[in-house]
Amino acid sequence: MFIPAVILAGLTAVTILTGARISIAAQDADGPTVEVIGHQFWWEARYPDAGVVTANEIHIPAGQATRLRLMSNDVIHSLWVPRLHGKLDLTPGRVGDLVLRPGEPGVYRGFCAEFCGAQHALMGLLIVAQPPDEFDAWLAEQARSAPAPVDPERARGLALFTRHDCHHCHLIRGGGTPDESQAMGPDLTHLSSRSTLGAVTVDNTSDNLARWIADPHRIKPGVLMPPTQLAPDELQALVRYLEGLP
Amino acid sequence: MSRAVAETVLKGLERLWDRPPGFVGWLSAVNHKAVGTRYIVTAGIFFLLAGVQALVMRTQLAQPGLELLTPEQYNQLFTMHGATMMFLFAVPMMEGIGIYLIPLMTGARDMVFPRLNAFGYWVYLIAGTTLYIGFFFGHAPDAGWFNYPPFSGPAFSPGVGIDFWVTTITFIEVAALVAAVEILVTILKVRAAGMSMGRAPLFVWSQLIMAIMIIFAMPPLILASVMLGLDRMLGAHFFNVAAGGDPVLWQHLFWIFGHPEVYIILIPALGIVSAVITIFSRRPIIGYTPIVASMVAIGFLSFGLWVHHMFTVGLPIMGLNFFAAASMMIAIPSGVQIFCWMATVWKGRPIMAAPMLYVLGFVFIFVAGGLTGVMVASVPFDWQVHDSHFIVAHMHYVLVGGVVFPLLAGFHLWYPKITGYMLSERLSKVAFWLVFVGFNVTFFPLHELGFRGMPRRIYTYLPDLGWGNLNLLATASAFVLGIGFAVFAFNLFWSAARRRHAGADPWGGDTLEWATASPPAVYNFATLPVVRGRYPLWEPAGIGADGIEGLELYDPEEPHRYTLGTTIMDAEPQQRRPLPGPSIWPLALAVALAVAVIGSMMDLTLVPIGAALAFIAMVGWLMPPKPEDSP
Amino acid sequence: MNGGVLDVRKLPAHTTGIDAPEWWGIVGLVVIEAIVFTGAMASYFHLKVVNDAWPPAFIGEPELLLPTANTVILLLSTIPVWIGVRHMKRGNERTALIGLPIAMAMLVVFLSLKVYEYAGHDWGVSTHAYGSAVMLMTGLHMAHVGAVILKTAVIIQYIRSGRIEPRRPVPLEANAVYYYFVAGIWVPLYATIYLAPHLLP
Repeated sequence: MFIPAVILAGLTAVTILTGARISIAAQDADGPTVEVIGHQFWWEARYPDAGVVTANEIHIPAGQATRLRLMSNDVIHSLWVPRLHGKLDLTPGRVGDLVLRPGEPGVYRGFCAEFCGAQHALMGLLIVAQPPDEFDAWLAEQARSAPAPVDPERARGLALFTRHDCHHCHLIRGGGTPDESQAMGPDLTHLSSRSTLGAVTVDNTSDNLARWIADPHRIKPGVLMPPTQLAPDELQALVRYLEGLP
Repeated sequence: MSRAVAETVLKGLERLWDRPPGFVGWLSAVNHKAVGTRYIVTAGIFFLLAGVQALVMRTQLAQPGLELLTPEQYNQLFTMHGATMMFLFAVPMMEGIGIYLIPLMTGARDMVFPRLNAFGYWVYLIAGTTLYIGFFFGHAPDAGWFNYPPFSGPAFSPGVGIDFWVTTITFIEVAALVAAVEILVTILKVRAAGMSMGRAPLFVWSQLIMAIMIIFAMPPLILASVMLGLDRMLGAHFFNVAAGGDPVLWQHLFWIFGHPEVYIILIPALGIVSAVITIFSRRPIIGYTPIVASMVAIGFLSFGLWVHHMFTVGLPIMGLNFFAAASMMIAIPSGVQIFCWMATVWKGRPIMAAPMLYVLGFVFIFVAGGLTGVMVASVPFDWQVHDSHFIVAHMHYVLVGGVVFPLLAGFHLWYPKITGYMLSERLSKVAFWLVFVGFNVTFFPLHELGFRGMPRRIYTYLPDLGWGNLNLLATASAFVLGIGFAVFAFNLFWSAARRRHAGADPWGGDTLEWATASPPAVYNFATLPVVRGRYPLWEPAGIGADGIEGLELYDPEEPHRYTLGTTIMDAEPQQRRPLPGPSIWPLALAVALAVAVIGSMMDLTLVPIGAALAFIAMVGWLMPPKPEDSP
Repeated sequence: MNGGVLDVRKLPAHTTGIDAPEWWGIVGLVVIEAIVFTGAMASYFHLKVVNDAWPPAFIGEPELLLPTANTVILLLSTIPVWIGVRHMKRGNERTALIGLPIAMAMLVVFLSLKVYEYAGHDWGVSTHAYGSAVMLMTGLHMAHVGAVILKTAVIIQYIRSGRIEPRRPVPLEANAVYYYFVAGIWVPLYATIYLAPHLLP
């Protein structure tokens, strides 16, 4: 009984020291601050200093400590990137504070770890750690507004985007769409710069994008986005427009 | 085996204690063996249902991207699996076994409030059945057994599924509390003459501690679900951030209940283990007092651990360290018991009958689960594995190892007492190896999947994550586990049909239940025993040597149902306690309360109607007899 | 109890106080309900901590005069119950038949004043988490007072019909334990609802 007690006391001491080291390390974040807002079933990422809003793929500089401020728009989520850090919940009414310091550039897979509804399973995210100069370039690019459509087909796509009320949930900054965004869905200003669709459910290809717009429930049943009724040529025009968002 | 009792007295006792015939008589039965059996059978059926749900879920997870279930169905299944196992199986099963065995072990004719006993069962049955009616009609709750708001609140779960959770779980807690008070007072007040607390069997101690824990742990959950019900039905804002509420309040209230809950079902299982070890080591247990002290310590500590379910909420780290230290400390009393049992087996002449085999399985699996328990008690470690499949593995090691294996041991030990027939030893051993191997191969790989990042409560996963092979192994093995339980269930029925009579005491037991017939007569003991030691049937000067000496407590002139009331600590005879007979009122009260509680999700006007009916039922039930009818 | 059969025919069939199992049963119920009330109060303070303004400005701090007087009425009503039980155990049932109706009447006054007080509010359970927390505590307690009124009425009837008599006063005693609890738990509830907003920052 004495020996187990000593072992347990030792483990408790290690627990306290490790916890203290993690929280001390979190105090001097030298990188940017990113607001991560949980939605059913995707992640919104805001870079308030740069005026950038993106979704599901959070770019951060490698070698620096980035502070994530975790909030929720609806229910409780939990952010978990196993190779970078333990979990922290995104609770409505509270702000969580998580500091990531990836040593090596790379793409780190993340998950929602708190059950949040029908598509809790496919609420993935990517942490993209880049060398600081690449990160700065990415951030500058993301800060730019979307360009105007360069050809008639894409112009038609933009018109369809508005006609089918996509803009009620998705914002395209500078895309000429009315700014009625309630941020119900991901910001699409730089959609084609992202590698996946549906919160890391499928690759961001033309085919997948078309399938997703036509009926996202085929890919991710239970997602909050409704299907969109479009003729094939309309669908193609819309996909062409969205693909053109850099 | 007992002092000669006149045939007319036995006949008289039989007549006095039996329930009226027919269906209404069945509904009005209050005898603790009838109620206990009903609890055990009902809980067994719920275990079967939850087990089938688990197999369906495991099948869905066998490979990435399977479409056997929709996400909504999967979410309903894991919610029902957890809620059923915790609320409808584990606690009622433990209480049911206690209700059946405690009066037999303490030498009483029945529990102290027989009608309350029956009432608790009816509440349990109505609540559990209602939850499953919702499930079969597609309205199962789908927010997890923990039912966190705001997801379970009116904004994000507008359907009736969560209303089923809120009302039936509240109702079932009432049943658990009723049985707990019943068990507590029975153990304190109606033991055999001479059975001081220091002589009470360890199983009785474990039930006493369980009952006290239930009394302290369940009310916070009732409060929380009432709050959630108010949020959903009356527009209150307890968990609504926009109007001053806080979802974390739910988590505190839920886990102040939820963590002790785990130990509420573990402690009586430890009592079963002590009973089996004593009998099959054929010697008095080593460390009776340390074992009792350990159970008390576990009971106390378990109320200081709830925050370890909330390590990832973002609470201040210094506060978390306190809960981490407390969580580690609970390993010490758990370890003390294991050492006492090992010493007893070592010093005894152990017999490797089926109950002992299951106890060894318990030790192996429970120790493994305890080790991962120490791991997740460490805050930074928990941040990594929390809500991952590592926790799924840990908690099944603790709960299946710590609760289901002891229950299986207990079934093998007491089946002859309850039915009068021996179980097939060969089938018992086949079932053991299937369950033991099936369990380990199912759940051990889940530790690794958790390390590889697989979260809990996901209905599918993407193929590129590489989790498919281990999941396939776990699923295949889950069916082996299922077959093991099927063999066990078959054994129960087959052995009853085979009719190999057990006799009063097939194992050479030490406690009083082995001094009466198998199955016991409706009045338990023709003459109530007097106890002179901790192991009444093994003490030369005690009960087993030259027949039971004791109390008849039966007078044909004055046919009241009596048991002996005794003092709390020393069990000095104190009262000829008259016990009430069969009654339909407990069922009536349960139905009336169901109208109020469960009806609230359909129409709030049912609440006052049900309350009025409940008042009538209570007046009918509790009406003291007229002076001329009272002893 | 040495040798032979222990003769228990002389033992009483009815016990009272802590010797009675019913007393322990009621204590179990009281503990359960006390935890529910404690949890409700703890929840009130938890919500107070997470909110900047508690009670919120548009509700304001509670009036003290009427609730305080009402609390005194509730506490004083336990005295006739206590005297009634004592006299019953000494063999006199008449006192209980006078004391219990007096206590009942005081409870009815308490309950009526509560209804009057809350009817005058322009906020309720669905106004704000503050309203939810206060109405939960008050509502639970008012339901308990209502139940005690009904139970006491039944007890009076049982005494009249001889179903409760001095040799077996347990139902009266058990009801009294519950009565004291319902009156006593109001003290911390009163302090939480009415005093805390004035005394705590």
